[in-house]
Amino acid sequence: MSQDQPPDENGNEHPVPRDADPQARARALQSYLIEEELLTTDQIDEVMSLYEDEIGPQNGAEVVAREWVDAEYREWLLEDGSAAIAEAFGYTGPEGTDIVVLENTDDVHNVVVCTLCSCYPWPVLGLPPTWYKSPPYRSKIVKSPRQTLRKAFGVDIDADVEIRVRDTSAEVRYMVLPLRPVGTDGMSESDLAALVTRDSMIGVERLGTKHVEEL
Amino acid sequence: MTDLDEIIADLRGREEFPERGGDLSFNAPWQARAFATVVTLYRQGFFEWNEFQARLIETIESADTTDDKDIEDVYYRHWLEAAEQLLYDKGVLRGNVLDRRIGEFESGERDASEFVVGVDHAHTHTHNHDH
Repeated sequence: MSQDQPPDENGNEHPVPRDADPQARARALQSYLIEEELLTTDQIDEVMSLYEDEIGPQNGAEVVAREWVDAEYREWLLEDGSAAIAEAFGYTGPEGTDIVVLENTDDVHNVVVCTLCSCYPWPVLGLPPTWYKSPPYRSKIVKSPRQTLRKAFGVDIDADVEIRVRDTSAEVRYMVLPLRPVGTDGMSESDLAALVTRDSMIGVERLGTKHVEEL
Repeated sequence: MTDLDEIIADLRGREEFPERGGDLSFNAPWQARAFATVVTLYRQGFFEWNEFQARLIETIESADTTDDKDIEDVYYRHWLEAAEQLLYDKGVLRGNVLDRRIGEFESGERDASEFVVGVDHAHTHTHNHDH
């Protein structure tokens, strides 16, 4: 595979052929960093277990359920999402520094996309699903949101509800605050959290028009 | 031309993971390895997250991947590309140190049993260290 490329002295080149086998590439990078004692396998293991066990949409669901039962928290969340999430729940980390929470209402439905790459609020939603990263989603949801929600996600948004497509930038991560489903009065915060889906926090599902028994 | 809505719906249909927890969207161990290595580097302070992000965006923009079918494969190739570029820019990687090592893995001169890593726990082997 190897084209001979001269070692560079200023560190600004990138002498790895783009077509190299990615498995070899990933192994090479990791083994080099470990052998040079720049990283340890324990540190890497810890990251894997964090993202496997602790960071996922269950975190965002807790945030949403808190907002449904606590008006003060709601205000804080809408004003400064990152702080309200970090300080109340401790959810922080990469892709979480500027989380903006978008409120769905009876008249507005928000849906999130990243047309640049696949920016996504990891601390509250975990890693994005494959379809979120796909070129078709990234282009279609912007061009024809109502149709895409209906055809690709089976979600019919009433014609009198405005759909706002939010394109994540490199600086901001969006999370949608879904409307509370019908028939959930008096439910506990943890029971409410169990109703909140990942898709509803991306905006490709609309919870507020559903009755709890449909969920 | 296939309807893009169908592609999205099909991708959703193929999601095999549960919606809550544990839903890491990797479809090969090297993707998990690449992911975890980069996040660990960030956690250890080698770079700011937005520095990696910027290179990831550049890499994706400069690639023509509209016809690629395997989204995770393409995505994590970009991820590796961005990580390598950033580490060269930072001087953590220099010269052709990585290129040489990739060749050694490709040729089988090195293999994964040289180091035991958590990201491969899904494929549990008993590694023998008596080389």
